[in-house]
Amino acid sequence: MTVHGRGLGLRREFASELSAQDKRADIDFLEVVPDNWMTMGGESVEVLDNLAGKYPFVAHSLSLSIGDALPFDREYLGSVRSFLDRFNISIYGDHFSISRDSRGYLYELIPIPRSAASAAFIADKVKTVQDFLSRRLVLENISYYYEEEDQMPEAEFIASIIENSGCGLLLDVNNVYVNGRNHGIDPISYLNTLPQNSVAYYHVAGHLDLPEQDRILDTHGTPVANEVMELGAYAIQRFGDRPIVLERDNHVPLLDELCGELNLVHHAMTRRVEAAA
Amino acid sequence: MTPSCPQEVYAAIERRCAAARSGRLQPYSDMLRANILDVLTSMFPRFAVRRGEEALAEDVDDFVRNFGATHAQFMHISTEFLRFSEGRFEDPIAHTLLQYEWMLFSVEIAEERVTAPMKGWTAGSLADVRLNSTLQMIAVSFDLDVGDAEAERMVGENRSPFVYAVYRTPDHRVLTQSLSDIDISVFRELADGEGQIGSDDRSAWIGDALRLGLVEARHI
Repeated sequence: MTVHGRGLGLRREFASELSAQDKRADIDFLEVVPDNWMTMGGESVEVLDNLAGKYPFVAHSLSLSIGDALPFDREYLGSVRSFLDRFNISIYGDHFSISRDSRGYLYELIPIPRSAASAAFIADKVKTVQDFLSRRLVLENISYYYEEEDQMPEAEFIASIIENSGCGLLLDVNNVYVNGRNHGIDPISYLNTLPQNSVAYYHVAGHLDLPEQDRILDTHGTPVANEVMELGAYAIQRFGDRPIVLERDNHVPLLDELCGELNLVHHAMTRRVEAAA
Repeated sequence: MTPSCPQEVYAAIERRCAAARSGRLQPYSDMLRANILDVLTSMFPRFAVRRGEEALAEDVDDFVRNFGATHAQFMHISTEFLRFSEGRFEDPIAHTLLQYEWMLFSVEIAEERVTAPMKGWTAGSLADVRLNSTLQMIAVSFDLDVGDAEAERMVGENRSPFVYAVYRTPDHRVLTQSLSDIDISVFRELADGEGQIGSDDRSAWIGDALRLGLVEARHI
């Protein structure tokens, strides 16, 4: 099932409310985290089934751990595949990150040590996952707060994996901005390094400025900053008008307010291409 | 088939994760611990209070440093912590509260569907009903409704256990019901299938159990 336009990251905070409403005109699709809904019964199933009747879904998981050194977790990925099939979801992805080592799961998105060798290994791993799922993977650039010297620049690393695996990119505009500020990377150069036809859709979210620590955090807990919307508008000029998902995971406002922000962000990011059309 | 990982890539990943586990990769080391603590305090509130802030922080640190969690999903952090805690707590009350609060979670997400009897339907005998498909039982050494001091006294008395059923209703509420000896005896009959052949006179019990949601009608 294809999606377009304005998407909202589905949260438990408003899932029941949204499920009880008629289809809203200000939401085109929902992004669901399979980890939070699959292999569950009870109210969750009813709510999700109901929402699936009103909105198309894209799926974005947390625990694929594509950057780790181990064979992929067949039990987990099998559950993801069943979930995708059940809800007829064609766009599925996770993050460019590690969440597992040889001991077990860590429950966090840890940045991958970036090298040409790790990029080649991950590209091969992506292909096996895509074969297993019978779908193209769509992987997200994460925000990261730790950097080692002599690592491959992130944009080159991601571009290499995309080019060698055929996976798509979930471009998180806020993460580009946050990493740019924290690590002194020019976000425009970063975006210009990524393959032009690679973006499947965009993420936008709010961040928290911590001037006393001289860094910003990708918190998903505040409204989207104007600078991020500006960067998003540039991304759309470069990569095209793709679906946009607003993520809000902390201090989640009332649903109407959240939908208002989604529409504001969508308009701010797409107005240039709309004006040019 | 998953491609094999080059040795230098494997070593770099293991090194980074080991640093995160051990506390040397900030802010990730703190983030790992905060994620676990957040789940424990929200999913096991009574256990967390009983365990105390300092001991809980030590548990979390030990969990992150040393434990090999096998469930990928974040929502199963609680399940992994239960596994990690086996044989760990000397305090029987903390141990019991952890098991009980995990049971609440387990019942809440159980994949079984709970059905309500059709309006106006009444059961004639045990053969007409079955146990609620989400029902789990727990036997504990203190009354779950009392405070810590009273619970400690009860544990010290070594009395016969308190038995509870934890289950989900058709409208998705998770309930805890104290069970009597008769309840347990009938549950055993139902579990053994004896209820299917019995010509019994348990209509009052069945009516109560249906009203509470402990059993479901077989006609569904």
